[in-house]
Amino acid sequence: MKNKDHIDHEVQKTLESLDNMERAKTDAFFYSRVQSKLQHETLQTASSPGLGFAFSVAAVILIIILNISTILIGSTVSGEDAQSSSNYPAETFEEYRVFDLNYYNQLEDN
Amino acid sequence: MSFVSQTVLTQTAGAIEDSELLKQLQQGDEAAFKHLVNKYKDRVYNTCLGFLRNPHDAEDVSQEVFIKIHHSIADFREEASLSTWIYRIAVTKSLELIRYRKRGKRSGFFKALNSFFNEPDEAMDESGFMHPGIQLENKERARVLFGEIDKLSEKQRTAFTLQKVEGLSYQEVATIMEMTVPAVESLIHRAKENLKKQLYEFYQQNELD
Repeated sequence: MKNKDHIDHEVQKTLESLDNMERAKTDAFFYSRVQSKLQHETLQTASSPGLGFAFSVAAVILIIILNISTILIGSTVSGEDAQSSSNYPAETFEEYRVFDLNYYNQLEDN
Repeated sequence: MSFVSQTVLTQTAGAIEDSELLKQLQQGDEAAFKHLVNKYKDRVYNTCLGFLRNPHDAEDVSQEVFIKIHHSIADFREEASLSTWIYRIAVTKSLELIRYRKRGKRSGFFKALNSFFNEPDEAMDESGFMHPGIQLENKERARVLFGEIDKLSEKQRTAFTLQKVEGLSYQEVATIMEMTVPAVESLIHRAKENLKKQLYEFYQQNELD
């Protein structure tokens, strides 16, 4: 019982501990610090405008587009190559044939 | 002249002065900004310190409050008084930092890992906080009380801190929190009741000599 009263008393005292407290104060140079922070912020905004970010995003997009177009062009060219390689023997024959089959027919006729 | 009428006169003079100050601020007058900072810096710092219980955090947040004021004074529409607006910014910024810190504590694995390899973060240590405005004989009890205030809901904590630490009236607290006076009275009453229970449990667990 005595302990309960003691705790009650301590709780009450604790709740009253903030009564009549004084206001905490900053020092006289607070304004100078705010001013320097403001100037620093202004300088930062001026030296690294939003364009920096925009440029990096544009560069990334450009690289992606170049990659995609390279892949697409590459696949088209390889398709054409496959088609032409199937006609390769005939084309080579046409291009490099050294004799005319009609030559002997013409000789026999003469 | 009675005390009440003198107070009303002082408040009216303050309002007129703030109105004039506001005009100058909105015209971008740097001298007016300096006057505003010097007029409100201690109120802002004391409010932030009451919430954050760390002088470095309170200093940083107070500076942020005035930077915010500097940036958005042109948009201030006088729906509330200048002092109310400043208190609101101070409370909002302080609560934002508290919420940020709480999120940090929840995802604390990497922080714990980081603190294992680095020096402990002094800014996080609030346990040894001692408000400079508290009388010497009350310091230990106030430390316990501040610890228990942390456990209150955000609204109760805000109302209690503004009223007890910054010494604002119920009317002023109500205007800052955008509530009615009875609602603030009820919040503070519930805050005190909760604190009583919490303190009782605290002293039971930490047996008194």
